[in-house]
Amino acid sequence: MNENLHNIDRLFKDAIEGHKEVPLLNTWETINESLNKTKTSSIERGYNWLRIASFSLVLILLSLRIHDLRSKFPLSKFSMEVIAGKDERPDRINSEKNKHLPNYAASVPGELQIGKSTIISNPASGTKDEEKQQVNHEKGSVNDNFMNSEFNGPVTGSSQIKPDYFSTNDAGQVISLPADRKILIVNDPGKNTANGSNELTNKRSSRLSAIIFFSPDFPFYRLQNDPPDNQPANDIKNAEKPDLSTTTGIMVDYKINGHWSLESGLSYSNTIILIDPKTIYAEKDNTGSVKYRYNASSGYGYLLPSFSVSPTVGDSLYTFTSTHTLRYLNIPMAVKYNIQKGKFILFASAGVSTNVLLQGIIETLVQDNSNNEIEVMNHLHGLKKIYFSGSASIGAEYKLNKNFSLLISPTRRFAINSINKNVAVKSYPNSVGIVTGIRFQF
Amino acid sequence: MPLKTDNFLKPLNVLIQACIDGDRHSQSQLYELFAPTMFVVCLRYSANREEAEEILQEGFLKALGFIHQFRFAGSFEGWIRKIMVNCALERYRSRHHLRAVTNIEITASNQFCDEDIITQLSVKELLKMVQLLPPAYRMVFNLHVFEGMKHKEIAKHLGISEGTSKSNLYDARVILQKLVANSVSTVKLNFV
Repeated sequence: MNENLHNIDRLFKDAIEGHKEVPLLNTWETINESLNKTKTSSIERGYNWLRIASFSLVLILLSLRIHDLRSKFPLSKFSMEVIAGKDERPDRINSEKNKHLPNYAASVPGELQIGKSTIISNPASGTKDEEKQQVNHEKGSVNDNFMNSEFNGPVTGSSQIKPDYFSTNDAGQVISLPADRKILIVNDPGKNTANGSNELTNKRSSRLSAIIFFSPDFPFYRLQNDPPDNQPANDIKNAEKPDLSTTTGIMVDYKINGHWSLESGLSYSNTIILIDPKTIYAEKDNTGSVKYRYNASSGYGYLLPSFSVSPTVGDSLYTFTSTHTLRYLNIPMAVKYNIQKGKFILFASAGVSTNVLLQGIIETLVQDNSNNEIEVMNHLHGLKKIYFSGSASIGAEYKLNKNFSLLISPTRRFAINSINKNVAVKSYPNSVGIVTGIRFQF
Repeated sequence: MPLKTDNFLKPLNVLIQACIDGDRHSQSQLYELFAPTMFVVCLRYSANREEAEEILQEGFLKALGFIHQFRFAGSFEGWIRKIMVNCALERYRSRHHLRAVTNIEITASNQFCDEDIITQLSVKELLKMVQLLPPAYRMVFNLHVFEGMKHKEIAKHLGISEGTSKSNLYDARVILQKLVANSVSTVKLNFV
């Protein structure tokens, strides 16, 4: 009987081994469709961050364009008056209402374009109405004075010119007059042209500037068990050692006033964490396949070395020191307070950042009794696509010249929410970085 | 020496490399090259043709997904076959884990199986007999007879004891012998 049973083994093996049978034609079609779906979803995942980056860049460019247009076609109170037919520019005033006033077109060889509004403040009288009346009464002399303060071209005419009487503040906006009068120029006009040959360029620095920066970061993680009575957070914390990481990017700074400014832009951060050697075990993944599970602070991944393609639940592998890399595209928004002291600007800023995951990978060398192989886990389960963080910094800038300045700023970044979900350990990445950069003033 | 086939101009190594690069036409060629052999493997591990096709699909998807891990060191057929067996095992573990082993009613008497008579049975009939085995018996029989695994390995793969593995193999053999005897007697009757 036993011999017969062994014959059964051999007879079945000999008969079936080597036999071929063609499956249904639609089997390949099904495989092909599945491959297409996998490819499409991986491409979509890969390009999602690009869409976000493109959208952000479009927003920044749009903001720049709007600013540029505002500079060329300022829409101020004066402009509104022009639109409403209340144009009181000196030349119009001269030609219509106040013909008695000096005509600069005649007195100055060329056309003079003065700022959008010119207000005289009289400390003695105080009210704006009175000031405006004085503008009308004093228009001629005021404009003469204005010209002398702003215009370097040849001036002829009846007005007395005494340049020494005038001075401007730091922002070039207040012109002191002799006696008790001041001229406050709001929104500088740009250019004054005299006779087409002498061009007055009343330059004003733009509110926008760009900062290119680089920051070496020192990351540290706050790990929280989920639920809180679990043990793994301590195990992971002891096994993982954050390595030196970097953040680099470009920021656009918009100056609201003399002290306050808003900053936004794009940056790219690369965080590296070294994980101690450990033993990992095979278990079923979400699809029911048995693979080796690798746990890390940000999530977990599965690996299947070629020397162990069919592990059973509970099989183990030894992993050597592993490298866990997290790459994010950051879109920060910050508010900044500046204090200028000569060539130095001291500042403090605080803000939030939207961080879009570009890549989360773990690279490790696995080994069993006789084989070893480098494994890369490109897909980490539990890792969120987006998380939010806050930042606070203080720093200093040194003005090299009118356009460029150098800055350094110690920055503290902290996660507002965890970078992962549906895992045993919630991870909150924090870091301290030394931001160094160069600012270009437009 | 790279393997060449009659129907495919590309050497196998080139074909595999093209599959690693994601070339769909090469993937299709690789499927056509190995699907007939692998389908028989899947048929052995499944209860019917439909289930075998599902295992074949899963197996090829996995093989094409992990093909970059093939080191060009051993036999590619052996590698892909291992994946198919692994898929069949995963399917068994996920679906048949708690299923009780049932006895098959065999009416024929316990007869000696003559090899010459067995050759009169078609491979399809023999495959059908394997498919008729209860899933646990079928797994043990396939892993032992076709994959050449020891009971210790089988026990590890199926999450059972070595004793259970041996017992299942014995029962599988007895059932197959009875099925063959039954089939042979039918053949004899047809000849008479």
